[in-house]
Amino acid sequence: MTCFADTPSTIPAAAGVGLKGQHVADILAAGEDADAQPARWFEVHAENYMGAGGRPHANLTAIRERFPVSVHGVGLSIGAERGLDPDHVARLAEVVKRYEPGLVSEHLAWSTHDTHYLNDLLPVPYTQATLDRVVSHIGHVQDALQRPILLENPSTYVRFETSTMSELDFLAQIAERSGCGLLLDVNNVFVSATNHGYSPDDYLDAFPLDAVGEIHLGGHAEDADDLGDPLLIDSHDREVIDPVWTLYERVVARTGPRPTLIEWDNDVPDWATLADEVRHAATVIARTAGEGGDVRAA
Amino acid sequence: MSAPRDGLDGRHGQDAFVSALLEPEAAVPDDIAPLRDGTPANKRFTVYRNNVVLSLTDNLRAAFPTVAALVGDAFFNAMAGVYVREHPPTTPLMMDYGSDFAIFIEGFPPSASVPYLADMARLEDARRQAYHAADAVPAPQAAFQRLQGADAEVARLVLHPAVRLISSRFPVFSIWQRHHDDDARALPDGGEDVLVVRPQLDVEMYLLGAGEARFIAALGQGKRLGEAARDAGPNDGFDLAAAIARLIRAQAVSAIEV
Amino acid sequence: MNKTVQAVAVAGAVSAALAMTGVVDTASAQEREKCYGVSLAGQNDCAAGEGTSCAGTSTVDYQGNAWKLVPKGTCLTMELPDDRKGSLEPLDRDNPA
Repeated sequence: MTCFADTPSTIPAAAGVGLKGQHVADILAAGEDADAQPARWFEVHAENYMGAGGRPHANLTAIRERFPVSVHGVGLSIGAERGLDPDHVARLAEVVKRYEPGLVSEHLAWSTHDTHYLNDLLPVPYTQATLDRVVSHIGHVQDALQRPILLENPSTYVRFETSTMSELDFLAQIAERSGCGLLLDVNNVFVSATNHGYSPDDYLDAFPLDAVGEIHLGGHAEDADDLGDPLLIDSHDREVIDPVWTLYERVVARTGPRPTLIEWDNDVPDWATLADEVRHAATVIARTAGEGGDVRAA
Repeated sequence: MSAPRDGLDGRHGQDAFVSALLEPEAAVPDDIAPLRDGTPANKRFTVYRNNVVLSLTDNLRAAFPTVAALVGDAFFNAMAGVYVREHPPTTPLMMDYGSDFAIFIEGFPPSASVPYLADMARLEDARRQAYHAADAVPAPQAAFQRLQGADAEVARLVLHPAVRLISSRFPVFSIWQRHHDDDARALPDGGEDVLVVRPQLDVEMYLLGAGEARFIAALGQGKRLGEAARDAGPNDGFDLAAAIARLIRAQAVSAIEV
Repeated sequence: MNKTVQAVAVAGAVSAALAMTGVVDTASAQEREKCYGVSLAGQNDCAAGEGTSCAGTSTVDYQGNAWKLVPKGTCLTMELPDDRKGSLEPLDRDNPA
């Protein structure tokens, strides 16, 4: 197996992008040309590298030989009432062992139930019972991986009548009790705030930014609910919109540069278009660093 | 079903959420907050419901592109929608989802007018399995050269982990090929046997003779070279040398055990 | 065929096979297909699909009206030698009661 011992594994407080197989050739061809290839690191979805071999592993190995990589799980189902699947935790541990990622993250969501896997990030009610369960599951995963993980705030389309605390309180308590960090998805903040009628600025003002080890930015689709109220969908199929960039700028003005990822998973564009989005994030980070922001990584 | 939680009666929690996700007619679960006028959050909940079905359908379409093209999008979406609701994934690995799609298609009455559809699904599933199969270095020519005299007859050719054999009573390889090459030639008579391999990172397919398919199947069962050759039988124009040559060229043998 | 003859035949076939692989692969395109697709991968993603609030909301699908579902893809041009092919005619047997 390839040894990554000489490759930096720490994710830099710089712009990165979600890795897609169709871009690997362009990325490798760009070499050290920062104009053609502005991403300083790459993120992959853990489940796409749980096969035995073949092109996915060949691609990721080639990328990992040159760049830091972070692993973002989408199927662990941290919020599942039925508990974690030990086989899947083991598969995640195997990916982490193989690629030595600088960061490992998952979602505040669930996707498994009994023997079903539902392939979507489903919402949880913010209750004491959910909190205890999620904290316990994170502890289990962190023990299995022998490292802390980051947990991402969700995009949600419904609220639960059973919720007894705010999403902010919920996330802050998770971070405090489990020792995990948080992955702040600024687009998710915008989507959920719009869908549930609260201010994304207020939410971010109160967000426990010290716990943030990574930031996500992505595009969303606009829709409406049965009453015609705005319903935004976390579709990752287009550019980040300006209001989300503005929220991001305010966040990094307070935190200083943090590892920031562009996510584009549907209608994936050519590399040049994606590189433009990465450059946009890099420009914001550079401006912040230039203004003497706090450059400490979480 | 789990006991009621949080002092709520009725349909709530993840049991209720899952039931409502997979049943298009079901009401929104009781613990989902209503809209500001007190009516159920139907469209909001439907985002989750549709995302489950659409994301899984899209995964099936990516895995079974020829099946989808053969029947058209409208038919494929409807068929996949039924499959997804009746057979949701059992693991989070999308690369494995749909491994029993062929069996479902066989029992799906509206697809009966396309009798080769299930076997096309088998072929495309084999291609996907080959794509993700473990890496293995092909046995070098020198290893074959060492097979002299009595050693050859008792040698075991270990097939590459990506090797798959599909035998169909329909000309599935030709149908696949006509479709992908936009080729209008008439289809051949009878069934076809297909060898699926992945020499490096790209999946390749070879059309086999019937005896050759039996020979490779026997090798796959761990039979020795002589025994596998006998399994192939003297008929069907089976040519042992040509069959071994194909395996070498296709890099389908990863080790030789004597 | 006795054991010795069989062994010689198999060894001879291996030698002949090696000789064949020494020459250019003559397997025609007709016998071999190669594909470079990345779409074979099967992708796990963390995004919602497009149009998920409206697409597929129809509850009128296969359940209950199987007889209305008719393949309309390229199968219609795939003619099997014994004259079977994809049919535009709705399937009128095996209808659910």
